[in-house]
Amino acid sequence: MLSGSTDLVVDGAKQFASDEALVRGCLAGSPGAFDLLVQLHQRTLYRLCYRFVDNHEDACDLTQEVFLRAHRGLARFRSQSSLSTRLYRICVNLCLNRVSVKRPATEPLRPERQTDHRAVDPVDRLDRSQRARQLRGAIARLPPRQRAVVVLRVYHEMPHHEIAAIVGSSVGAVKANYFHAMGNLRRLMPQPEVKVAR
Amino acid sequence: MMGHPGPAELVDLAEGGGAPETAAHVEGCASCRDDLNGLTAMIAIHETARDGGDVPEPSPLFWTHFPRRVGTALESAVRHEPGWRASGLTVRNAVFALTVAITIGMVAGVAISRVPRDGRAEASNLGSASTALSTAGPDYSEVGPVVDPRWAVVVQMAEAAGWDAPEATELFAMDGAADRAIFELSTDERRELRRLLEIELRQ
Repeated sequence: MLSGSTDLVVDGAKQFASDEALVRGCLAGSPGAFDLLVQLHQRTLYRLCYRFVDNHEDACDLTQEVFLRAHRGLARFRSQSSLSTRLYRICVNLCLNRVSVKRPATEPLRPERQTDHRAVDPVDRLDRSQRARQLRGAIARLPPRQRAVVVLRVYHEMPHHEIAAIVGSSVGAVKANYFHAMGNLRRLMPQPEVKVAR
Repeated sequence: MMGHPGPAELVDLAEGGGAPETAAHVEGCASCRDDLNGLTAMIAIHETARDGGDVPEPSPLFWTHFPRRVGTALESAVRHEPGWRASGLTVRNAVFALTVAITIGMVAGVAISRVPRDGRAEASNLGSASTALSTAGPDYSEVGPVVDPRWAVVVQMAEAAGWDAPEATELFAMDGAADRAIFELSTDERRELRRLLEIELRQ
């Protein structure tokens, strides 16, 4: 079945019942086939890009570039991997290239304070949106591969084996990256102050 | 007793999986327990941030127009692609075509190089003959004005040249110029050159 679906593409989904059929349609120049492909994946890929570049304009440009590159490579599409995995792979590579040449404009994190981490529950103590912003700042400071693994695992809820296929490494390596990324994030995240009761 | 579990095993435990013996080890090991607790806490923080909407959603209109935007960019990219790419030539095909072209070039080069080689051999024969002549002393009486009209341009340029400063005449040959000149001749011109050299050698 087509990976992902939206209300806008119900008719298209009837016409192209699988990723392979959709790709064949695109290659044959079927009207609306490539538009359907874009509509199916645009939001997911945009979100993935946004999590790397943290602004709408760059995320937009990158998402567009993913589709352009995907179009160029459609002739080489093989049904062994799903179309979405292929798109994710292009997207992650583009995002990693982008962030490696352009340092993200992140807010400086507050210096780590001396706190007892076990005594506080950070989820309860901080506002969610503020926490999300801090998290994005911390994720932006991770090494590229760790960053990709965290974004795909936590925000796109992908299984480790699919992440491995996207980033081109083993499942064990993905899990190790994830573990180390979480350790780094714990250090990078500003910890809430502990109010000492008198 | 098993050793400390690796990162992958701790990740499995934090996500609700993992082997029972790993869980048992972590239960009794303060260091591993701290690692696992830290990992679990960070995963929880991320899940909260995700639920709180970490990416602002563009307007629905944006998504309606986005496929058209991609389509326009695609058309523009195809228009500005190099001709070989727009014609559907893939890199693999391009490499194949280049290999064929190089092979043909090499074969042609070998075939062409026979002509100057023969010429040089004849020229070297001519050189040895002139050396023999020079031992007997040069006889300039044989040398007359060039009457062949095909050499008229050369004669004209030679007469006009200032030989005290040959660089200024731009008539002196650069390294390899003769070889290049041979390669630039057409088949008929090479045939003609060969004929002239043979006439000169016979004389």
